[in-house]
Amino acid sequence: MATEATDAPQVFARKATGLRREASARDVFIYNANNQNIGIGVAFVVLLVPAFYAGASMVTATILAGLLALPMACVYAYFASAMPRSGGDYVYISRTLHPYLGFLSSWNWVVWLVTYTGIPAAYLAQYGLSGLFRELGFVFSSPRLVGYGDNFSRKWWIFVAGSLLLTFFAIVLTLGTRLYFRIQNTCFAIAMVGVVVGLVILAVKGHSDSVAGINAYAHGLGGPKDAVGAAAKSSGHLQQPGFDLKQTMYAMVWPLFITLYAITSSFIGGEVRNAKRSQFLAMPGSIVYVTVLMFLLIVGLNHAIGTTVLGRVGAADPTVMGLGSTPTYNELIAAIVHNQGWLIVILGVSFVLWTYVWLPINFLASTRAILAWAFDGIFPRKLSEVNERYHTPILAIALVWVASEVCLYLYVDQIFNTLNGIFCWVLSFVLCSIAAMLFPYRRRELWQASPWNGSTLGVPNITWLGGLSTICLLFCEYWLWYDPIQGFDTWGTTLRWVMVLILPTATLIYGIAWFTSKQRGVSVDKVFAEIPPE
Amino acid sequence: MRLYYAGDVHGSEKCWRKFLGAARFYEADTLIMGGDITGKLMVPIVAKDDGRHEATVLGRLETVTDDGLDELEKRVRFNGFYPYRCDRAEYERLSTDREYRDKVFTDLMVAEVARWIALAEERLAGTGIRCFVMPGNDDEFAIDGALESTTVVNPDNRVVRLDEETQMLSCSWTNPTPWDSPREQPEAELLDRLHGLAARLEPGLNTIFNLHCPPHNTTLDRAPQLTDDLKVVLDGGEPRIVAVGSTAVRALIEEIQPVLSLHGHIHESKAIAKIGKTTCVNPGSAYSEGVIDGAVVELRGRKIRSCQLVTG
Repeated sequence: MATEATDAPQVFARKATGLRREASARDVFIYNANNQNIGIGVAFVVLLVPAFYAGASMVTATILAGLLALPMACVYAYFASAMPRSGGDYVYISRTLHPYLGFLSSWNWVVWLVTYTGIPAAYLAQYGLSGLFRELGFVFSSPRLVGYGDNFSRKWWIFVAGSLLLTFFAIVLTLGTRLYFRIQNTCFAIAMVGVVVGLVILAVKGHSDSVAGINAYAHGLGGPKDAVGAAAKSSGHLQQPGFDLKQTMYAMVWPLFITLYAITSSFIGGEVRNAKRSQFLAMPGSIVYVTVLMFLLIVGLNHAIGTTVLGRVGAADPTVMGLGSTPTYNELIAAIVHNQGWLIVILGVSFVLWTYVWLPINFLASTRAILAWAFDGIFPRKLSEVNERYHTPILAIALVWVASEVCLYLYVDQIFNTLNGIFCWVLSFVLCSIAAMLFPYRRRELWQASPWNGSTLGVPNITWLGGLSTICLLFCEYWLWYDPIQGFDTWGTTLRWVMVLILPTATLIYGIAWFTSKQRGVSVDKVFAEIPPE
Repeated sequence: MRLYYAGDVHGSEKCWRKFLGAARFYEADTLIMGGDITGKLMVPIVAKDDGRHEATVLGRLETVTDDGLDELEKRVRFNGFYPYRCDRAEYERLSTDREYRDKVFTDLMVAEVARWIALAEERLAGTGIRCFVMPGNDDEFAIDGALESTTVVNPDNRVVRLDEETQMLSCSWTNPTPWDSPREQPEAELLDRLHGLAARLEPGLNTIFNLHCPPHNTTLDRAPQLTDDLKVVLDGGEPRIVAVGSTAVRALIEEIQPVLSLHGHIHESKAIAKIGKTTCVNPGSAYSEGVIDGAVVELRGRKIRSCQLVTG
């Protein structure tokens, strides 16, 4: 068989339903870019890396995180084009390896999806409202608003604000995804305006302007005239040594938190037109887009404020600067333009809209997974029932809402930390990458019929890609495990139990489902098993 | 009685073969194919002057020798497309002569359906397995004649007996779609058609509906909303999902309240739902992957003992 570029014969389509009922490449690109969180990603990198990873390069760490996530995104894009249906790796792994492994991976996904529905609920107050109210207090010279800002960094304020946000989105998702996507669409546009405004400010302001601005802002909130100096003293005059590769690798775990999650369009794979082109643009393409934007923001912050000042502010006790909590990069940019109230308001409001992003996306994805399990007979059929009026799975939404409230509390009480679940979550990506390696051998016909079925040195290209993705992900796992800030040594007992219990609980649930479905006449293995065509 | 129901295989030979094997695999005694069995694309395999053959498969030009022809055709069929061998002159005519192209396409579909039914005959004859194969809104009327055999029954537009206590009402027609497919009509006319069929139901028997179109405003009929030029309407990058099922179908279900109502048509709306006492099922479709989505339903008297969606 050969491939040539000649006067190729075309195919002929007849009039029939469904030929064009799909989302375009641009649509799914936006979907994935939207689902990555540029604002909160840069906030973590800038807040933590200069302060706690001495010698680490934020720029190098961000670029490395983008590069290491690319093979995995290509694997998911390949699967999404070879098996263009909704469900993500639950479908890919079930079909390629075994239904049990598909469920195990999906169960792992949902455990962390629910965890990261609860945790971002806390971000609203912790990173969004605290800074916003301080900024508003500064603009309107209102100590009361400043006080609210400081309160929003306290445990119970964070919990109550997060709890209200979770309840709000539980109601929104009950009313239907259409309302949610309208909210998200509007919020994303406003949040992107904030990013652009921030980039412009960083481009035109120099180091001395920035330090003067931060000092004036902190002084206006009741801090000392030389807040940057006070931060330096509090941080022990933290210095940035020369480039340290090992610290940079540790620091990479923070941008990885963003770039590893460019694969959400695999969950709506059944809706995508020309999946081969669209999914490759939407998954690896959106990683490039997000990495470039994060890179620009970080370079801008390095230019305008400098790594040393960022590190000292991040490491200092915020009260020495007159602040109730450590400021995000966005609040620092607002401080630079402290004499232009309208800019401060734009920056503050737009940044709040980055803080919540993961909550509804993860909420929605976990309810979809529960629905799929209920249809497949793994979970009780009751959980697949939908509200007659709104067509939404109220029981599944209620279940996720309750579990997320628990996770929110565990985070607020510091039993869970920001990155704690990522190590386990990545194991699902590894399993999917292994499935990609074996795909041409386990599902030969499907591989041959797929749009990317070439080989190199006698080995299918998807096998090479799956291997590369597995290596990259295991490399990431190494740094996630040994990260001194949130790696294995920092994991608490509760978190370790959650991780340990994922495998046995998945096995138990699958076993019960297998037994009960067998009693009804169709065992759960047959629910997924391929009927022999001959 | 245990039945296996699937639909919307759209020309996928692999799915058809799996359908025929489903009775043994799931230990079912009745097979029901709920419509849309023909493919949507014809793939010309054009003979070249150098003795080789070329075709565009999934957007890629492939050239094979005589030895590779069967393998190429197999892969084309795997995706639910129809391979058609021709020379360059005939290909040019297919490209320019619409009427000729439609005729060739129809003949090809009828021949493929006849081949499928012959395969069913070969696999099922003498097994005692009942097999019902109905067309759907996408299937042209020309195939209807090829659907009947000694083993296979086309139940479309009539009421047939499944066993001594169960009857099945079947209809391939749907409400209007944006594609103006062969078997669709306005809701009022569809309701008249369905009422006409319901008049033939025997009182006192268990009733099953086999209606290609799902009922309106259920989880079985959720599909992306389209613009006039057939583009998906998006909210924040996500397709806006609306109800596209038939109000006539829903009205009939509400009126008759059969024990079970089987549907297809909307591939992405895999679901089980209740309308009153009726369990409504749409198993969805993933035919292009060579995967057949179906439902295994066990009936005990007038009750459904189990209803399980399966992916085979």
